[in-house]
Amino acid sequence: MFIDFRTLTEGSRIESDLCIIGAGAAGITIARAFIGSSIRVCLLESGGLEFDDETQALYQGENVGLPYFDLDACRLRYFGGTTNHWAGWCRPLSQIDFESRPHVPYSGWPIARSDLDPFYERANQIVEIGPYIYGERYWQERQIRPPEFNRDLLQMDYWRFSPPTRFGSVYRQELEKNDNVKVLLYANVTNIQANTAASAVNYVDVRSLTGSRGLVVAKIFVLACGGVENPRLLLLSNGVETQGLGNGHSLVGRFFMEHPRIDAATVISAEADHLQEIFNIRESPDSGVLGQPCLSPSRDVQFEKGILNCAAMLQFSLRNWERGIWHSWHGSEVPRDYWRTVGDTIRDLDEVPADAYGYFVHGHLPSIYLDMVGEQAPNPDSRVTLSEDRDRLGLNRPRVDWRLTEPDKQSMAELVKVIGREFGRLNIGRVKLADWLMEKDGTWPASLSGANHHMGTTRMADDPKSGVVDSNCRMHGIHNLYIAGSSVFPTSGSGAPTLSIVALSLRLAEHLKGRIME
Amino acid sequence: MQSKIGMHRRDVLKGLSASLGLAGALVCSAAEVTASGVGLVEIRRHIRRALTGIFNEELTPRTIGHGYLSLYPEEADIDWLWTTLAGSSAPSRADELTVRLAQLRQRDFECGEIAIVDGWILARTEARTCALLTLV
Repeated sequence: MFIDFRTLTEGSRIESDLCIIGAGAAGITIARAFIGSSIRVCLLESGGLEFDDETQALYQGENVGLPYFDLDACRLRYFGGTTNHWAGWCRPLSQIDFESRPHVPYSGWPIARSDLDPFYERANQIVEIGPYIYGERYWQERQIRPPEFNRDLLQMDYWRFSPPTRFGSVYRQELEKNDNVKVLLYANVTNIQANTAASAVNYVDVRSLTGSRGLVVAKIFVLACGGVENPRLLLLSNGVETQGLGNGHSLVGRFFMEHPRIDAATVISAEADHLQEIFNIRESPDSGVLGQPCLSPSRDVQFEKGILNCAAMLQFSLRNWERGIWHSWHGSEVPRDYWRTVGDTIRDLDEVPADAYGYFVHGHLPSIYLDMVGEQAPNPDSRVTLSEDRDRLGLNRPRVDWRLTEPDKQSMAELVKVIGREFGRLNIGRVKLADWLMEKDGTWPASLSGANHHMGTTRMADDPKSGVVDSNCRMHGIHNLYIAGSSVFPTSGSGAPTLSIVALSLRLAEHLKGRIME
Repeated sequence: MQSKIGMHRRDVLKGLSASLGLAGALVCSAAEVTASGVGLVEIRRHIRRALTGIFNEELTPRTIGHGYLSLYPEEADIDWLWTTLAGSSAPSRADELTVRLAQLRQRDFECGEIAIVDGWILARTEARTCALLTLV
């Protein structure tokens, strides 16, 4: 059932068993798990069913660290959340991503990959990828023989691409026609009100941009607003704990992680067509699902070299800025970093005629690039705090201070070296490190970008001194507040987070069913 | 005052002397041999052929060669490089050398005997082949 919060009586008090704040991938997944049950669910969404500028402007914020996307461009604030513009990249986190690795400070989840496996399989269905195939079966499905890389050095993993599933469209109808799930649109949560002991949440304050006010009372609350907004709301909810709700150990907002993405190497090959056949994005002959292999350092290499779990894809078509223009053209959007794209285009103008000639006359691709997706090392100084600037609701906007460290760069360089060695051994190509990777000064080139993934800001750990939520995603010290989404990831791996967000949300929903029935 | 014919004659003489100089240089170069008795022209031909399978132009391997020699100046020795690459009993045919270099390259990659030069991740054998190219 959908309700426009603006139409409710001023000062309305809505009662439910479960209140979910945020109707993105996590919030909608949890709400769907309760459809048809006797549990009363209230799903709060700041926006409406379509994009609107006024609501979206609430997502503006400051970037004070490494150059980053505008915060109101890398997230969407209406029903379905950021799935309304996600690209559909899916890959589960690896076993090693959950482990405590001595060479990665602050690493280790309080759960194992095996705890998520059954939920990954279901998540795969939710994001419409079909069969859960990520291992060796991928090659059978694709009917290709993979290169015989030395598995002690290099491992192959696989991306699969969701259509991409727009959660707000695909799952709208079933939420709309169910009575036990109320979706309140245009309902902005402005405060999470805890009891005086800060051991439980009593209610959340809700306001619309038109001035309507109300509150939602529930047995259990789930915060599911994303990796920037989750810590923001907790920091803003400082009526009882002045440093922010659940922030007694100053962890809320810290450990902000992205997936640093950048061209890390060039590959030359006399077998470019063969490599393209193997490594390019392709549709599965059986399922029609798109997939693409990627390369990661083996577990042995990660431990031996002390590096992170990065991944590299071979890109055959275009340079980074060319890809930006291509995607923008096809999406009828202005490029995300318009001026940077213009700058890159001017800088590389001399290469355009050669690329165009090669492509249009000979059908040759300009070059082959290693498109790197890094696992970012958890870093407490990379964080989300509150800005002095305020939004239309009078709430402090978020300030994102994205910081990378030397291991992030070193890990990429080591992976390129391993790939170079293996490509040479198999004589399928030679690899050249990007110039910026040759400089060991901790700097990053202007072409660095993130992947619109916001993780780590309310991290999961058994010890309250190390994490904001426990292994069930319940906030330490507050018995009825849970957090869903990638903000609970203690480490990021290199897989895009949506599939893991959905899997974790399914797991959380199972847990909540038990809790509410108690 | 010079006649038109005089000018032509001078030009012809200039051209002739230049041509003779060039031919002389080529003859000397062809006659230059390594200690192992292999001519530089022949070496150049062999290694160009060996590198063709990797690089489709010569500028990159030359740049790599210069870079490698600046990292390992003690290896800037044609005889030593040739013997290291071709072996003490130098192959008599180009395809024999190509096979030998492929074997060495394979061994290097398997053993992690890698040279990173100007960002290129190469088997040491390949980097040495590039170095030799710059010397002959």
